[in-house]
Amino acid sequence: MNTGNPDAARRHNQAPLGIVSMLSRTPFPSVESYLALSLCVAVIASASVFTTFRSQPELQRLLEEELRNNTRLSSAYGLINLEALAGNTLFQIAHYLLSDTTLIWVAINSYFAILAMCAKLIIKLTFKELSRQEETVARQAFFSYILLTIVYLSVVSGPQRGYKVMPWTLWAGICGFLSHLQFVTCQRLKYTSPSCDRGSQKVSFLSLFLFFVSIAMSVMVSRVQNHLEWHSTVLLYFDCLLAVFRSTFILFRCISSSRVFSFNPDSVRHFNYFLELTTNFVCESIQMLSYAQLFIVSPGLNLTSIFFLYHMKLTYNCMREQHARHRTHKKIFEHIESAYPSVKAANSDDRCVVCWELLGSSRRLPCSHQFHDWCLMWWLAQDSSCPTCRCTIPSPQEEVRQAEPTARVQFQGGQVAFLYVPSFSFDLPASLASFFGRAAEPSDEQLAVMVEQVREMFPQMTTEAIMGDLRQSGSAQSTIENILEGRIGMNGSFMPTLDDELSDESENEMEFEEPAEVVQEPDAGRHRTWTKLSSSSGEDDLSYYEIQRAKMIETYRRKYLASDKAADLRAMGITE
Amino acid sequence: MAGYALKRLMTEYKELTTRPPEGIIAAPIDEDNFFEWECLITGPEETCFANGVFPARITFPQDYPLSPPKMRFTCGIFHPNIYADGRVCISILHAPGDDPTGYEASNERWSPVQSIEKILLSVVSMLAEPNDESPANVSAAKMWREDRAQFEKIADQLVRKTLCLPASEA
Repeated sequence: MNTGNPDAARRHNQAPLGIVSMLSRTPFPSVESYLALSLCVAVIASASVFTTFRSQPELQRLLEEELRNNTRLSSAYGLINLEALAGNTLFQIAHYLLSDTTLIWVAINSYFAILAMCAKLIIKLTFKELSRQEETVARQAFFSYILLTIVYLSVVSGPQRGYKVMPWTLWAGICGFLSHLQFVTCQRLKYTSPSCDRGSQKVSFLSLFLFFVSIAMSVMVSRVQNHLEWHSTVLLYFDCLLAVFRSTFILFRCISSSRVFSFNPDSVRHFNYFLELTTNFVCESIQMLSYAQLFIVSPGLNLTSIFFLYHMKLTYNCMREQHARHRTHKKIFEHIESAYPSVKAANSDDRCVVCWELLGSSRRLPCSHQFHDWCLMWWLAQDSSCPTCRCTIPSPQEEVRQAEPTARVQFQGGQVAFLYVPSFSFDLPASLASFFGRAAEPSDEQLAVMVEQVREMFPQMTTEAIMGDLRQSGSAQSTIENILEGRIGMNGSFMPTLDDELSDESENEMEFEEPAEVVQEPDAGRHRTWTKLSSSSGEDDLSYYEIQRAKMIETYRRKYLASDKAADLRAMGITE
Repeated sequence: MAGYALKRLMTEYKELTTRPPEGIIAAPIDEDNFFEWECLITGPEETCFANGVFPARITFPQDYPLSPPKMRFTCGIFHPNIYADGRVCISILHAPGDDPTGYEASNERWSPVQSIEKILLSVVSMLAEPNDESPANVSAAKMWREDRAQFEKIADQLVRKTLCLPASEA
């Protein structure tokens, strides 16, 4: 919003980078630090187990005895097996580990660490580097997952802690692993275009892997369901369903973006749009059901039940917003279909100016410019003029604009009401919700609440910037989206590290251009520059950009030296 | 939106390498991330920026070309329409929805018809003809209006810096 605001820029320049930037630069708790810590703990624990076994030979005999007499094991595996197992040292160690709570937790932690390492490795192999934005979003999603899991565990384990919580932690670990990978893949797929084959093979492998893991999880649950209570089984099935649906979505996205379908980009877009819409709706409904289930299971009305109610409300809002967005899109699409004729391109090599792909069949605006259906739809969703000639075109924008605020205010009204009366506003009927949010403009009080919400996520943003965007967007959710997508606050207040890096790199870039030094020893400076330039243009492994840059600087240097301005340089003897 | 940003950026890159426009180079910093570009533009002839080779970075949003990219110079250029931190303030880089200065008509704003090449050409012409009505750098605008000689001297120092030439003594 304020990309062009000189005040904001000045403020930013004066503001010291300070604690916020330092915190955002410290990648704590990073995966690496966690892995290192877990490794230390695991090494210490295994060393202690090893020394115990060494120093106390009678322990081994004791364990063997214990294993033989274990009734639960013997009933499960039969006596013969047990005899053999009891003699096995590895089995004895496992038994020893299971008898000590601390050691079990160390083992669980190592399991988490291994999962985290696998996830990191898979992401690295498939996507190489994630962009900063992707990383931020994935991090946030991951931390909210962890928070949810902690509360979830406290509910499912019930009042008796200890052994009962351990299988659930293992389950949460694999779910988290899967959902993190799915999240990152979804993010990536969302922004890659159809028929773009960069690394798509790797993504296809990953999608297959995710699909099989989620299927395997479901099979496992169906195997053990007889030993569990009904509500635990239901929860496990919800998790499986969620994983399977998401994996299927990723699989379909991969298939639809393969080259086979690239001849018809518009129908691929159509397919992707509806695929995403359905998956989101299905996943959110499942999530909603699982929160509802947890709410029912959670003992009494306490903090955890409020937490789950809040999450139900969030999911509900998500669904509503999505529905509203879909309605807008549908309206625009219907308008496009009814108002603009579908025509063939005049020349077979005409391209759509939005996506630069071949036009094929397209829509013609009254000003005779042509676009793909979807390209036109996305553009009209944010503007009401022809992209080419900027003439205003009759569009459903006016209707949409009138329809949108009511939908949004309803949502705010619900949310604000929720903040004060949590359990009440959840099952507020739509008519009542609209009554709550009758005011067209959010009041100052509501704005203040929303600013707080946004600032919780982005403490480094200025209040004015958030306020400005909130006034336009009308909802905390869309402002957060705006910030994440860089539409506001990119004047350095968000992502300060990026700015620093940019300037650092630009210094590196200009490393052979130190004017101060050159002034003192012009000839030495010139010589150094030349060797650098000629060596860089001679090497083969340089990128296109670097070679072109060297050439360009060389050309313009000559031109400059030949111009009037360089009289003093020529007088100093620098002519080339 | 289900983006076609990447595909379009790749097409633009291909176009720029096969038919490079005069005095402009642009390429992704890393070929694995097409959303961050590095570019060089040359100062327009017969201006105080003539023959300078100015590096800049362009960051594309993920819904490009529906939203405009952001551009910032990394050479500390002093110009009325460039913020002190290098960000370029030019009407075609502003999304249709927002109007930070209140001076621009919506038909001068971003549209998907624009491309990297067109943006860079616009920036070159901006270097030639600063718009001091809505300055991003107020002191630069003031100097441009009141002390043109000093402005040109600063520009010339920068040109020399970008060409790795020693600064003039005066």
